[in-house]
Amino acid sequence: MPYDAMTEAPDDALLALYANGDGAAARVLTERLAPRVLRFAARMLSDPAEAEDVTQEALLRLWRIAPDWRRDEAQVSTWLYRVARNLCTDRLRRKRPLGLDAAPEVEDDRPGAVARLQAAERAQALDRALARLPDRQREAVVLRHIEGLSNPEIAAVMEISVEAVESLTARGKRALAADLAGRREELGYDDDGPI
Amino acid sequence: MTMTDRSDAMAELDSFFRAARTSAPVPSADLTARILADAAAAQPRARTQEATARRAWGKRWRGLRRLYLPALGGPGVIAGLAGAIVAGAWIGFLQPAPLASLASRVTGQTAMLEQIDLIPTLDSYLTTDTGE
Repeated sequence: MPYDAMTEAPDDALLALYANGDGAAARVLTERLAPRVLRFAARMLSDPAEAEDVTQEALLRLWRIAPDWRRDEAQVSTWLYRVARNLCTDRLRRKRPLGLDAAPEVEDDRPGAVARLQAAERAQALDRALARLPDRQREAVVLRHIEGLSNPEIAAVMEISVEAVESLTARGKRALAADLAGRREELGYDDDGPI
Repeated sequence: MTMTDRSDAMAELDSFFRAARTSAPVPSADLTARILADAAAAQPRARTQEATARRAWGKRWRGLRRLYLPALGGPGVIAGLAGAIVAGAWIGFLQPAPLASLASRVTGQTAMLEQIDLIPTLDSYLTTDTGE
């Protein structure tokens, strides 16, 4: 299959192509799935290097299961999030995250830098607040509100009911809102009107 | 916290989520290279039709072997049985001289295989008395 056509193909079709010896299919799957796994792992672990390791390991498990993949089993992305989640959980059990407080401050003096800085600071503030949430609430909130998964998809990833997902995201959002409310002045988002 | 406060807080939270989505980390060139190297190393070799057919026959044969071999007594018994069949056929068709003479002495018969009438004629029983 030509490379351009592959970018439109569903994940499971690409996985079947890869299992049949098509190397280009692996590149398309990597471009499509690695950023999603990395984003999720980075927010779960608050450690960029560990998030990269989890991403590589999750993809390696996908390559290994490719010859035995059954189309009716699950969505590839859901399966991959579940593997990444388990890998993150293992690492979190071994060691609590360092937190993004140790991350270097954003420095940028190009035009429009103030707006970018503010957005970056908000993202960092959110990451810090997420790191303070219980693990399961953090997983549910990240998957729902940053990765954009539906509640049934999150239920499949976390292997819980849809009702439990709704409860976790609701509690997580309330805790985040309360945490961030105390940081309005610090983050300077009263200066640019309602958000 | 009033209802309005709560909805304001949630609206603010949405702006944080938007900021998080736009400033998300992207895989470095090094990470992508590592992932693709893993993919190349773990990739199964391309399957040809011939190899697939060979694998299918092998699988069927293994299935039959698994099913019938224990019922017949295992591989040792099957080997013995096959040997006895071959030896019997060899002796029966070639009739080696030492064995033929031994058989003649034991049974008192000297007939060779080709002389045995396997379908004896019924002529002697079917004769009719014509009264002559």
